[in-house]
Amino acid sequence: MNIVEAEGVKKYFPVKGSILRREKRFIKALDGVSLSIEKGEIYSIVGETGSGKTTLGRILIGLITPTEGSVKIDNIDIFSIGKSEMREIRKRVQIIFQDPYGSLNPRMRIRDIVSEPLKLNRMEYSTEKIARVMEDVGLKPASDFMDRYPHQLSGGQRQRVAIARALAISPEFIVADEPVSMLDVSIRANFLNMMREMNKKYNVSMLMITHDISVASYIGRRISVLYLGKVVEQGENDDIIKNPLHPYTRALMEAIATLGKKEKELHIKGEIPNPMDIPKGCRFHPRCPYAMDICREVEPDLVEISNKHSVACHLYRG
Amino acid sequence: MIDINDLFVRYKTENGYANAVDHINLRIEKGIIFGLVGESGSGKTTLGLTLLRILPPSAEIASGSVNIDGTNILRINENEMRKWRGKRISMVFQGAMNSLNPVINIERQVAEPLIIHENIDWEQALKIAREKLALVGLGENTWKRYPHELSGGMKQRVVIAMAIITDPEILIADEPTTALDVVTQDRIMKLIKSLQREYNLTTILISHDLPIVSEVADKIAIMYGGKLSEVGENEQILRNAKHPYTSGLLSSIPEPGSSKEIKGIPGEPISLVNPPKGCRFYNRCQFASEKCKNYDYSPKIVEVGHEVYCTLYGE
Repeated sequence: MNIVEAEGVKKYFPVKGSILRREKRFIKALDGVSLSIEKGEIYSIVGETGSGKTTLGRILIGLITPTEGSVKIDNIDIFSIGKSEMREIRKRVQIIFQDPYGSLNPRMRIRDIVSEPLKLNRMEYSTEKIARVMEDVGLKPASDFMDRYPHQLSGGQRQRVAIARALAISPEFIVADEPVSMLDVSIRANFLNMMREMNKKYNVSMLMITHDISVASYIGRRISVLYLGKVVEQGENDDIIKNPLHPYTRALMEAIATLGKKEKELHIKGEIPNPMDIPKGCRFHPRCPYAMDICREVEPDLVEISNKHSVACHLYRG
Repeated sequence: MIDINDLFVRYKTENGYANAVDHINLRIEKGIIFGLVGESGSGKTTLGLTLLRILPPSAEIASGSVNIDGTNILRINENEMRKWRGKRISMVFQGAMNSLNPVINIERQVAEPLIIHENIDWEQALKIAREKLALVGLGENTWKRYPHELSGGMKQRVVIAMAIITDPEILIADEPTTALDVVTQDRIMKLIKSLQREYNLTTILISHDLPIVSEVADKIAIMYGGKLSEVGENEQILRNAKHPYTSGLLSSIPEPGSSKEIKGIPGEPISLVNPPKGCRFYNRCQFASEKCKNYDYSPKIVEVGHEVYCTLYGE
């Protein structure tokens, strides 16, 4: 059973043109992305700045309307339903953001921050319920944190407040947008482990958005690698990490810093281009060491190569 | 040789003094890449700023000395210091790539320090700026561009070109790869490595990211709560870590493809304001004992070049 099903999701943001330039230009943040997230799983999206990963996360919970494509949550097409139905959907999904300093209201006490989604959704709440979820995420004892303000907490503790707030309404699906990238290394590991525990304990599906493939591989069961608004590779964690097929995924794996002195050889050229000027053909071809003639002309489709492991690359066409 | 003796730098805050660099002793040999690793609030940036004497007004160098080639740069007057700052010691600041002037093209920005400080004419200064830009891997087609036309990696190269414009002997690089994607991170580290190798540039690499540092650094110092925890050769720190904090950091790093559980360190980093007596890591350490509360931070020598600041190891 899938909690989320996205089909051909596109999002084009119009760019303000000058008076002289008549034609409308677009930033193609997402250019046809499909994925499905099973109930109870942690799914990871890996991509660098400009890949469209944040836009995708927001579309999946209905915060942004896609230009094209559909998103179903528990089989309900969230962009073709009315306001009152959408309100019901909002009780079932939550999001946590990258910046633990900017995403909590500085004038609210922790108890009010955590209980706010319950109040807004007119759900029952009690101090006991809030204390329980706070202790679940490691804010122990909850009474020590209840009446404090965000500025009195460390970055790691604030991010725990953010996840407590998300879990308070017992959602079925949480989008976590780079939740650990601003946390210190020693705090990060505990936070990831806590997310895994909450995934089981609350039986909540999660989408982990990250630029760090080692974080994705640690926490997720399946991974989609996003490049300039398209999925270039998709599959089970082990298949992606141990047998990366797309030259871009391979480059990401090669580039990971690991402990010990070394000089790595990277098989990738240049940097990610501007999403306003997406290269013709395969959008990765200007950076690809294996680019062939066909790559400059024809955009490759995402094709299943082996069991549930798909890649969009001409190197693997039949 | 950079010889740091009993250096004590603190900031005045509303709640008392924050001891950012708390009586630290450190020797940094010439020509190496020295990795200074610590989490936010460990004092690593303050240590860098002290070497250039550009601390904010709330900071005070309470005691200690920093000897470079026999000169205590904390004692010389401001006029003398100006001959060091930017010329013999230079710094790549954290986030500097986002502080480039948007209305000046990059070759002029890189050349500017020469005009202001060295009294060189524009033509000569631009010539040197272009040499440095080429050196950091920016070709002719980028020299006249403006910052918004450059990618993050290219902007970071511009900042590095600015830092080496006066051929310094010592480069302090504060989190030079933070906020860059992994591929670009790797390229910037390769650039730093090549500058060290080809120009014998002594580099102090400040970062929270131990794996990135460990790929290029010859020696590594681990800081925690304004104190050193452990100092050693790269391999000594990675293969034979002695301090529980170092081991904790090492076990916090996920390895792709390994099913190993990462552990992290319980608790929260300590505040630099009014730190407790004894070991700063006490409340997060699984080996903490009574004697840690009175630990005076006398170093224990593990082997030549490897020092640990912990009561677990002999007298």
